[in-house]
Amino acid sequence: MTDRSDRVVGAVFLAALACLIAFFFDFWGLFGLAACGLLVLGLALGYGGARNSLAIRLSLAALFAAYALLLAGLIWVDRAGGGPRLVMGFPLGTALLVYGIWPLPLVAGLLYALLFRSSVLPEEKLQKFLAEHGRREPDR
Amino acid sequence: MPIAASPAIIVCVAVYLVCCFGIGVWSLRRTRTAADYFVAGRSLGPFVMTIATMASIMSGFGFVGGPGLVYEWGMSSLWMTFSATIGFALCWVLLGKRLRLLAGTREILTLPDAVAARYGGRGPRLAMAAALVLGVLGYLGTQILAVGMVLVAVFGIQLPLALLIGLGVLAFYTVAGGILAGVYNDVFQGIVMLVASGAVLYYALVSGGGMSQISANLWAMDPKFIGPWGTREPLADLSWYLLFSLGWAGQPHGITKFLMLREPRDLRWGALSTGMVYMVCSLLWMSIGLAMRSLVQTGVEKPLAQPDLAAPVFLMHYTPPVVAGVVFAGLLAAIMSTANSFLNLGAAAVVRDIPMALAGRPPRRELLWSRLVTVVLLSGSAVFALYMENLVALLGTFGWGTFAAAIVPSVTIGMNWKRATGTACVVSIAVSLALNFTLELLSRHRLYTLPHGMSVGCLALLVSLLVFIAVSWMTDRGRSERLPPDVKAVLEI
Repeated sequence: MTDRSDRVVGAVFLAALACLIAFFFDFWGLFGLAACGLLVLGLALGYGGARNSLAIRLSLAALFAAYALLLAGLIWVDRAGGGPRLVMGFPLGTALLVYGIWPLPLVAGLLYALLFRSSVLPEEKLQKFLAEHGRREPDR
Repeated sequence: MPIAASPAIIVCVAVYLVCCFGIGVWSLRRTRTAADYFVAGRSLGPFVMTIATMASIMSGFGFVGGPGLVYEWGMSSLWMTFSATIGFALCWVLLGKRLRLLAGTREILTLPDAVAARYGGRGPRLAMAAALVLGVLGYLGTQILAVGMVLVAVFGIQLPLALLIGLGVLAFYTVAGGILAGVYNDVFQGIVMLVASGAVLYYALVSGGGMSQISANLWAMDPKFIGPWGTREPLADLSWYLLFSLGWAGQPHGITKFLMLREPRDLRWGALSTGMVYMVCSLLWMSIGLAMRSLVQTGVEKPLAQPDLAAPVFLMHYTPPVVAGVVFAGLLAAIMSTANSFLNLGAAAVVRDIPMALAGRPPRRELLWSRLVTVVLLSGSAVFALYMENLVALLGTFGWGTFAAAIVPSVTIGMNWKRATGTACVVSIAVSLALNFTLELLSRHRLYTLPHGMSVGCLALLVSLLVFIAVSWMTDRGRSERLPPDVKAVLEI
């Protein structure tokens, strides 16, 4: 069977391969980018047919872009060095990690909740599934 | 660990143990079948699911090892715990509805049951059960040892007696109420952990003079320490982030909770809420480690003999006894909730999964056998923890990576990709186990360490993913078209 999941899995394969190559040649920036790509591709694979929804596509693209920007910010701060200018209690690079990379994926959790009824598991699909394949739980 | 022996701490921990015991009594009358014992009779609502998942994943490592790692390496180790937000989203998106719907079509009580339904044949079920048994042995040994150490610190008693008390309570509620008692204890324990984390954050900030002051002190000591990568190489931190992010979807004590959910609709807010409560608990990991290092740097506190003492020393010296008592109870809660989940997984693998793989059916009187095997596993692990500490530590360190590398490809990808095959499942599990074990052994004996601080588990996960996909491409031969209708529907919905 060739479906869209095949393409996503092919991309997962390439991203994992890129991580390994980046590790062997010590390109940690590339490793980070490929790792973030792998995570977003994981989400895309999980959405299955629902990933055709424009909202999901745009959100996943935005998530990857935000990851890439934050990673680029960390690399820039790492190279620029500089003094202990604190942003909300942390040096700039650490603030990008604590207030950026850490909470950013909550957006993915929020998206899952907001699109649950329309795209992730619509009620009519669930009812059809249960009617065709549901197993009656034994009486308790 | 230093001895606390404060009346307030002893009372808090004693009350906690009594509550666990009480939940065991309550669950005893509600556990009548193997389905009750292994999947809580599929009765979990969304709130229980959220707190129980967080509590079973946040082990003693998060409460003791985590602050210790921050004390030692600065921000580096936070890449592990910061992965939870994306990790839980991946769990829910990749596995939530598929595992729950599959459990609604057949009798799926365990992860190997799900693997057997997905791929057919006995090989995948046996391979998954073997991976679970190996991982469970290591995790359980370390958790049991940790229960003993905490009770030694609280009551000032000898380790064997501490093990007898801690394991007695754990054994009672696990054997009596199975995962039902485990889950409701997880909820109670999770709430204790949340309260403890919030309180610790406050006292850490107060004792260190605020986050800005802590950061300034640490910057003066070593700018790298408080920098985003900490004192380890960026590649090491990123490899942890990847391993722990994708790895959440491969932790059996977390993802089997999907099989226990009452309604598929209850999945809706789980990814967000579990990520958020885990963030709160991670504050303890971050705040104690940074505050303790700052206090040592400014000469307020003497340097610690071991990084793992960061949490207990901080609690005893910088928090009121009642708060320290709640946090010690929280620590015990974190350890016991994880141990309970692993006992359940181990019992299921021995009583159900391996006999199903070898003989095609579980034993008669499955519930009775499950209870007996739980007792045997607990006793065996206690002996294992007391007398084979080196082996326990080795198995413990490779626990997370083993599960991630073995389960993520075969279950997480396999449940979302029709072309995945049983052969690929078996081969990738075998490769992941061999790679994890060999590299951990070489590293432990200082014969070979991966360059740039790369985590062994991450390498094993990447290789296992590539192997799984490549072998599936090679062995598919149209099998994806012949999937059972219910499995096909689960993959397509």
